[in-house]
Amino acid sequence: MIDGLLLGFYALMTLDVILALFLGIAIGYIVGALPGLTSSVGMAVLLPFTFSMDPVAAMVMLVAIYVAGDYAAAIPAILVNAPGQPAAAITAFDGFPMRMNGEAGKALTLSILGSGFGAFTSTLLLIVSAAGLAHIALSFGPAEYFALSLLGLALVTSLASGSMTRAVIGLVIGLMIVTIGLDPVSGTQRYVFHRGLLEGVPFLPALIGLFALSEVFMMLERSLKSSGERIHSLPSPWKSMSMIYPFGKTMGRSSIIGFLIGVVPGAGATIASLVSYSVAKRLSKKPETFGSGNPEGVVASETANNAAGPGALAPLLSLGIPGSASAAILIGALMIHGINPGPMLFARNPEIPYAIFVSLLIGLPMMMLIGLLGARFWVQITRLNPALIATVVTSICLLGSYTYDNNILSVWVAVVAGILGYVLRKLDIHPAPIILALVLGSMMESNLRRGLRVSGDEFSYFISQPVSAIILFCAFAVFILPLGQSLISVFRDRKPIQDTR
Amino acid sequence: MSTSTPGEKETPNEKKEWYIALRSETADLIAASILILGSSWYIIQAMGFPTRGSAWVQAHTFPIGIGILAILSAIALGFFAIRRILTRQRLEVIEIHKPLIVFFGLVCTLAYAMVLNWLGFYLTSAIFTMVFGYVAGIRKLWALFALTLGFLAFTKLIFEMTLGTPLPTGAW
Repeated sequence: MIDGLLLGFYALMTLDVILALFLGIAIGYIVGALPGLTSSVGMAVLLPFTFSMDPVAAMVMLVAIYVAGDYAAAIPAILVNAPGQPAAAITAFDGFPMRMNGEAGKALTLSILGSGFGAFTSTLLLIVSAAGLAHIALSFGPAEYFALSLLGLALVTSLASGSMTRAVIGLVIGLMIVTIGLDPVSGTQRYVFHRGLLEGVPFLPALIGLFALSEVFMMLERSLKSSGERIHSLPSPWKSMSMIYPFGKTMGRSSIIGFLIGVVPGAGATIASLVSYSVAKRLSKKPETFGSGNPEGVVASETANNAAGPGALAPLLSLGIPGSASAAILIGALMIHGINPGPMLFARNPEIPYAIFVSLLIGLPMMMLIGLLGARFWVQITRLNPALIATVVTSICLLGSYTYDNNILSVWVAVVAGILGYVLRKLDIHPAPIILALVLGSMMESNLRRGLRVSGDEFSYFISQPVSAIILFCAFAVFILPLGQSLISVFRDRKPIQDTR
Repeated sequence: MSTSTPGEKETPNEKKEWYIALRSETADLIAASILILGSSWYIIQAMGFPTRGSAWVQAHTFPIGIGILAILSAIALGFFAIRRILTRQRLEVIEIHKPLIVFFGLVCTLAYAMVLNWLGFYLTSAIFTMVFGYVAGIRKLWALFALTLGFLAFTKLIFEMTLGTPLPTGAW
């Protein structure tokens, strides 16, 4: 591992990669601080800029956007009660009341310090776990990969916030899209209505449309107000360190919660943030103060939220399974650069995962410093005109879609995916399960068919392998248990329906 | 069952905001019907895929499975919607605020894709940025010009000069 980290350090010590790291942090902060834009949207929009970059620099930049975007999402949550990411909504529970009590500076400082601690601790856990997990996964065959992708899809649907039915619908739409093109095993054309679709629906334009363009259409509906808050006194970076001491236990606990939940595909930062907040409230001596401006609520939520980010990278780098929508975008970025994510990544391109680890270790303290020193600037960003943001994002989305393969079809795919994403959002169907299905769907089908070919069409092959049998059992349980509970409540107890919107 | 109904809301500055409201149950039933129709077509198409070799799982197997899952989930969506109507639970409304602005925004992006090859990137983008910016709410002409020029200069510098990406020049 030490050799790997040294390799990552050398890979990072080039001007291109360091510039990419700084640029990623700055863009991530800007994207996160803009209400309505998430780090996933920022990564999707900026992915086309990485086409001609060195893969290490590209991945370092995207990971920096991912982490810094999660950091900065607390800024609009605290100042204007408009979270930059869904997970930051939990931060707003206490952050916004703190701002109303005139403690905006303290809330922002605590959120930045908590975020930094959570992400750093989680990165250390990621480094320890990912390489080991990848080593184990080297022995995996089609049965294990089929089972893993099935588990990923089951977790995505059952852990998705809101209704399970809607998450399943998102998933099947993604799976339908993924079947367009040549069949991965026999080469049969499926749903190919245009020659450009022979290789399938282009991933990046679909991603841009579903995430970024649909978000722009949603933005057109809203009239976001800029923050009226002016921060007159922010604690200095050095003095603010003392502010965090009373929350040491909360940060430690929340970091572990965040990492563990982040590792589970589909669970993500929102659940991590919510669980950590609930635990902090339950263990607090003054639980009644939570929700009315308790700084511990801000720390618990932000620490877990940011710890979940590096946690989601563990299954991505070691198994090629995305833990979140942002992780799915990172997988897309790796594929665009001709790199196969999964256990072989550590064997074939070790500089990439280790450069990501080192960039996080170096970048996180920088992010904290930039966050603390530039707080006033990030506050100004929340005041940018949403109409301006919508116009710039749309123009870049359309341009980025075209540059994916210099084909007008990609622009069409982005526009159609954008309209589809907007309609689905109105129906409360989030695009994240669609994107995860785009990544996991083809993996599932090709491994199922390879497994059957190897075993001579014996389905028992998948349960005769101990690892795949355990994973398949987990997938079955994860999918069936909540479904069974819903049905029992509907038919027996006549309790309110589980189809929450 | 309610149908699409326009509504009005008082905003803090006393301006009435026009919006479209649709009961979520109605929207869910429409979505479920579309999904069932689409999935049926998807399954029928899959049945026509050629069979190669004697393998149990063929090119059509996976799509048929997905299609069946889609129909089942659409039935569940419709079932929950009907149950909400019958039990008068969770009567929620889907609101589309500023529907004209959203509509023109959608039309602008569709028009961009339609004319890109014909007008070329720079002319299409210049018109698109100005029109979309106006639709989104930028009302100052100088701001629209500055934004358009800034975006085109950025594209030229980053994509054409630095990344060497060829952009469509137009058919004329």
